[in-house]
Amino acid sequence: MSERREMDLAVRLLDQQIVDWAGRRCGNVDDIAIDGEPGKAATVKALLVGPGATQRRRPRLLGFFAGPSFGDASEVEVPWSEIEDVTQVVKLKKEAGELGLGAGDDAAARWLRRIPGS
Amino acid sequence: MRLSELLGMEVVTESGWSLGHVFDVRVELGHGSPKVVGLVVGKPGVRRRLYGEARRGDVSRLPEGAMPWDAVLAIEDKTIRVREVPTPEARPEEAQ
Amino acid sequence: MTKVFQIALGILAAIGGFVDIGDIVFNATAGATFGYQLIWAVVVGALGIMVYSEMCGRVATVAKRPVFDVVRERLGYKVGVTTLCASQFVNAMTCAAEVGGLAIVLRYLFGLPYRPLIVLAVLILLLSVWALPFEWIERIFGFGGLLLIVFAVAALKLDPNWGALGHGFVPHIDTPSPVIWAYFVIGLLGATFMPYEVYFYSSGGVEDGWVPPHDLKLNKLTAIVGYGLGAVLSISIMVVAAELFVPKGIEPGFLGTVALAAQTPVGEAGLLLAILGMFFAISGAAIDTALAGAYNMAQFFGWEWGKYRKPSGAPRFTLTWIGFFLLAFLVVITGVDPIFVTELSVIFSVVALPLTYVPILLVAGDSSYMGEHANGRLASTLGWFYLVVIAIVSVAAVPLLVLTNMGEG
Repeated sequence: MSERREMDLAVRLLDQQIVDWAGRRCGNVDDIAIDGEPGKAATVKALLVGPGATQRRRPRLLGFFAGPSFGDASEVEVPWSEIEDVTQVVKLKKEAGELGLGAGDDAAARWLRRIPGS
Repeated sequence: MRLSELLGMEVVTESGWSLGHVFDVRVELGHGSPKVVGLVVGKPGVRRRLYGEARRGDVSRLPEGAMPWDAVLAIEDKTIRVREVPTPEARPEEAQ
Repeated sequence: MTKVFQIALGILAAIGGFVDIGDIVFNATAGATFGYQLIWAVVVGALGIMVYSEMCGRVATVAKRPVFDVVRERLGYKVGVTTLCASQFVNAMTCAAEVGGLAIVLRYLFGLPYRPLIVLAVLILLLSVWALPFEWIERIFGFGGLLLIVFAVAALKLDPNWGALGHGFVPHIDTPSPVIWAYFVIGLLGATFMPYEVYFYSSGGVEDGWVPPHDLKLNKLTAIVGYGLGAVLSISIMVVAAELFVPKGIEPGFLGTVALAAQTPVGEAGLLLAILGMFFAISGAAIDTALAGAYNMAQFFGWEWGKYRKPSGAPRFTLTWIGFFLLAFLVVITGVDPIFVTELSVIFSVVALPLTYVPILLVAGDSSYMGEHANGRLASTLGWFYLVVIAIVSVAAVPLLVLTNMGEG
């Protein structure tokens, strides 16, 4: 982890690019799950990735039109323990697939590989 | 609880005094999961996000203060109720 | 020689802002309507886009962050997604116009009917982007577009009135219809700031693997030479139109009219070079916009991206640029006038313009990102100055479009 002891989540982590162990881009930090209760100990539990995680953050008009196409249900939780480092990007300890990330790209790749020269 | 739920919520003291809105959540890094230490409350949220960290400087010199997490009493629909503590403007000295 | 190849990115990015289908006709019309009067607007625009491209190229080199990465980070999801929608609309509409323009150019070359040539145009574009590595796309379409330099030769051969031409570099109004004058000024400035140029340029910097400090100089050179050449082509077309069309009262509403203008002073070869130059420039602009659209989507949503990978190595990115070409096909196959489509996209660039350039300026000036390479006083001053220019363009574009009935008075 970087040397600074304190970090502000919205400025430093939210909306940042996530890169897996092998350097593959596999999503952005769409939201952050916090475990705990008001006033009592609370910790960052996981990074939330995927269209489902942006539901609360979308402009209302867009949510209305694009809700279905965003596939509201899909959201992946990346536990904090799987994060290697936060630099200009959020680097993971494992490969994207092991954490359930990059599924959209994987599906598209299967389809594209049928075309010669892909 | 999600970060996006907390962002933008109004922070109100027990006596009904509004301290502004939450525009960030400050955590302490160490071993294991980062621990939430406070809510960054105040008005300059947009400016701060736009300018990024360069203008952020040292935490103790921030114009806005971090409302300590242990002062939070309840998280309601659109507001966060906190214990009566010095206003954020008064906190930087304390933080040092 | 390697240096010459390396600046191809700047040339290809510049082509979209100076000599794409909309610009070629618009520049010629500006020249035919106002003579040399509006040359200064091209120069002002060129300096501005150089400033901003240098900035986003620097951010891409130092922080490895292309434009839409910083758009989302600085503006947040809500405003970011609005910027994305507006800029994707501009990209798609412009791409459609270029595809239509390419079909028109192919018609001049082969004399076949327009609609089948739209199919051919899309196939050429799809195959080029699919098969060619990024650097060859830059070189072929960037340098190919430079064939339009024939207009500079034509301009010289026409022996323009150098005094009047020089006066054109100084802003002045000499017309009974200042509103139309303003429409053309805003149009010329707006075209040079078309946001897909910086999307393409900054992502291209990452594609080309720029690293500091060596490539920071290359970035500066690429921005200055690329957009400089773009401006020279743009001004040449304006001068040729001023020389040939003003005396005869011709309104160059078609690409062919502009191409013919190169024939008068240079001969048959001039016409052929002009048409070939248009082929590469318009194809280049189509590729600019389609790739910009794919870069934006991938960067905003965090997908894998890059032409430096095989198509299946960045799958959703690949599908997005393919989608852009197919969408462009569907738009132009309806028979809509490509020039009209570019005018329409201006309306949406009103939203996309400031929301694209503000985050670039802020991130380029953020020393926590950029360290010693953050904006200095000059870049910062010029950046803010041009942000004001961009804001004026954004606010004035639509009212002027309506007031002048798209420049027709």
